[in-house]
Amino acid sequence: EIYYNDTEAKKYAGNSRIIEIQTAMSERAIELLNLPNHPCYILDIGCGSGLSGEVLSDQGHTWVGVDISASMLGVAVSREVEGDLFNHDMGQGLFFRAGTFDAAISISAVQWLCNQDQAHHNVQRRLRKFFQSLYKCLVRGGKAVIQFYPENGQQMEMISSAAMISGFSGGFVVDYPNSTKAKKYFLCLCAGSAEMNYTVPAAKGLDEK
Amino acid sequence: FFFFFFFSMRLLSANTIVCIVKGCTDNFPLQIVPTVVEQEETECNPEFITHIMHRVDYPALKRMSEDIGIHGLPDELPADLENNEQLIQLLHTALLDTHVQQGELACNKCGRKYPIAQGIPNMLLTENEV
Ligand SMILES: [Zn+2]
Repeated sequence: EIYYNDTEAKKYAGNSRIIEIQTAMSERAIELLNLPNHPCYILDIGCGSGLSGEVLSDQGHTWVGVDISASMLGVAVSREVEGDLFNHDMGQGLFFRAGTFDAAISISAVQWLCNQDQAHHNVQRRLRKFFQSLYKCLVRGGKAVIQFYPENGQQMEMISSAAMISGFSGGFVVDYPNSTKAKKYFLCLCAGSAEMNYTVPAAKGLDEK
Repeated sequence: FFFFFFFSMRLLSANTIVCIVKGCTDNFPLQIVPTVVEQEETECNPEFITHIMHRVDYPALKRMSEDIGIHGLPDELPADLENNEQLIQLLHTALLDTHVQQGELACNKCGRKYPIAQGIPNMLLTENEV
């Protein structure tokens, strides 16, 4: 299924409000990755028109983006983003060999895995495929920060438990939890053993309404 | 849509891809069958090249490079790569400045071909391949 056709993709990619929000969330997600102090190789899942990728490029990183929408990738190409782009459905499992990436980000994409008109077990199978393949393609100790808009607590639980079953440790960082508008969910994950003692970073805006 | 294609699949990402068709294992590397390849010169970041060379499968890189006409990579990487400016530049050219615009990635194990059109490989599987 393609979620953005050419017309929708153009509209979406040209909306300055969306661009601003997506860029800010990308910057926050990259901050939460807490990357080592050298240029990294990073995967962007659901890269869309390449907004997060541009933030990564600006910070000196090299990235690869995957997206299910060929139209969105077309927009990314027309914007001359610097990452390599692949047309792919993350629910089929990522196609990278083990230990490829230093880190991964995903902005407003993973909820698609739950939103489809598919049987419950199929959604769970796709989530599992996605997280298992993500775990595998990260270096040991590599981080993944996944921002998405959960529909409800059950969906949060379903997504995070698929991640934990796949070997990740971590949990949610909720920025501006008291604000209906600014509230953002980031699932912060570490592809490492429990001995690595990964603790999720602190949330922002805890006192703000 | 009308696009100019400046960037597309580079050899670095080609070096990371495996075939994910159900039941197909031990299939790395896929073979690049290029029809259009372009070179785009970018600034070399030696720090990134020495970092990423720990991950790159070097024999696969050498073979892919030769498949698309980039020669001169040594048979083996020297242990002190960080001191070899010339080789780092050559690796940069192979990994990051070489773009496959059209062609396909072919799995030598199961025969699956992943087409590359307008610089973007199509990795979508059909239902019975998952
Ligand atoms: Zn195969």
